[in-house]
Amino acid sequence: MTEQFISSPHKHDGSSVSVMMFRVCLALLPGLLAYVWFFGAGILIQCMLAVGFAIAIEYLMLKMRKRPVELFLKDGSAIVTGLLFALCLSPFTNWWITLSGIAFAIIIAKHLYGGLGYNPFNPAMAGYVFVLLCFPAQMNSWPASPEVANTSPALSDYISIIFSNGDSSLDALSGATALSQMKSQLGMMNMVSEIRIEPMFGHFAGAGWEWISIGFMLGGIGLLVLRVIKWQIPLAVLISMLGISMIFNTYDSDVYASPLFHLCSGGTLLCAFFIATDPVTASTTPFGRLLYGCLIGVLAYIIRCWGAYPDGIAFAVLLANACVPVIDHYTRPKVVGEVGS
Amino acid sequence: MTELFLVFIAACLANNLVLDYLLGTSAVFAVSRKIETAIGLSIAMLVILPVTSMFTYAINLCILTPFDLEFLRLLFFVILVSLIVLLIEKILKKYWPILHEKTAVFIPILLVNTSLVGAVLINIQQNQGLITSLFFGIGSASGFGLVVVIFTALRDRIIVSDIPVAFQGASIMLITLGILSMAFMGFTGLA
Repeated sequence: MTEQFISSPHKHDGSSVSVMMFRVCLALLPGLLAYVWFFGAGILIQCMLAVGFAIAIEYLMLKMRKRPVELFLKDGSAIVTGLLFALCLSPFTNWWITLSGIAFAIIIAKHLYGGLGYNPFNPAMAGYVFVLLCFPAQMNSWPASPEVANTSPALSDYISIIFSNGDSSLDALSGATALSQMKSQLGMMNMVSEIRIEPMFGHFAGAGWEWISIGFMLGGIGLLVLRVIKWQIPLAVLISMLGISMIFNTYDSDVYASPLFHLCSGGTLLCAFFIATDPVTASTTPFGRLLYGCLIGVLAYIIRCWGAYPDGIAFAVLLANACVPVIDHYTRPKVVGEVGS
Repeated sequence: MTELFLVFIAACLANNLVLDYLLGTSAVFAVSRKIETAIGLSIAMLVILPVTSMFTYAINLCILTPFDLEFLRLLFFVILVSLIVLLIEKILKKYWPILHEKTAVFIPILLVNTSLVGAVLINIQQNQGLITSLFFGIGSASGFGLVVVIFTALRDRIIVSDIPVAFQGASIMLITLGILSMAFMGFTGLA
């Protein structure tokens, strides 16, 4: 690789934290549109709830910590945290679960560590893992794919389920995700090829969900083109996930699902482009970013295939976040003149 | 073989000594902010714990159980573990001076530590056989080392953050250990 020298004067391209966050929100649009197309507008209510709670709690924390409120609210980081958190949740999730997850994310994972720029763990993922561990039963009802449920949930269904406790219409409208269906059926000694012909599976992953994932990937590529995120992390996450699932798929394709299935179901693509690439919690060296991405892909696959949770993305991100200081320590570039050990 | 591997994984990740049983947190906190020191402590643990868990398993099987003295286990093992640690130190000093030099500082920390005695007691409750005990010891020590290294590096980064006054020091470290423990709960079901 040749080094390119660009002499001064340099011009600032006008980017800032808030511009970056705005671009991230825009890049989420394709996936979000696909979500609304397949499963109705419930996810928009969930997003609005999460973002509203996030802004409110961020405001409270800034007031209590006596920090400039306007400056930090305008950077948009709370909005992105809220959006990513909402996208990890099922659109049927009760409002109080969203509230407790967001509260954990903003208060404990972000502000107790000093706010934006200091948090070692991704706030959205920490909040998600928190609610996943606290309310496992409520986190399991996802909208059934349009091919399975005869009626797709209307906006009024979503509103009554989100704001009431134990609405009876929930059971008719909800179902398992592709990953958890795959996991439970594999546990009953069925083969992958048998499971895949069920109507809830689409061309390469869960029906409907696959296109949402592709939508997120398109938005993520947009972010790559705009150079909001670095290419190393998405590449490493996707390659490691593809690689490890390909190895096990060729070893025994009856027990281990295809690489494309793992890539397009659950949160893999959303994580690779939007969650893992959080500049605060990711590794800061180029080689470190590759290691960090690989760690997420491999850990997520391990938890998916052999762990108790159907999708290990959130746990994998938190674990990789915890390893970032170690990775940075060992991949730090040498200072000019430093003697190699 | 698969069974031994599962014992190793369970002891290292799913039922981590520090994050699941909350043993040896004091040792995790005791390490200074350098990763190299943390690695030294992990190596010391990796040398001591497998030997200790095998030895105590044998003692329990041959002496305590035949004489119906299981109720003395805790008292017995606290003394026994300290003796074994000191013995290992002497042996290392004589036959493996380089390793001794690296780990000698940590012997006092590990001499009377909950992580060692706790691991040994868990081993006797859960596992059967000397080889299983050996793998449990290696797994527990690796899990302990993993947490110590990760936590030391994390602490080095957190300590320079703009933390609210009420949460500075031990409290933010405990919160960090809590979030780390949440992350490790993803490994439930692995073994």
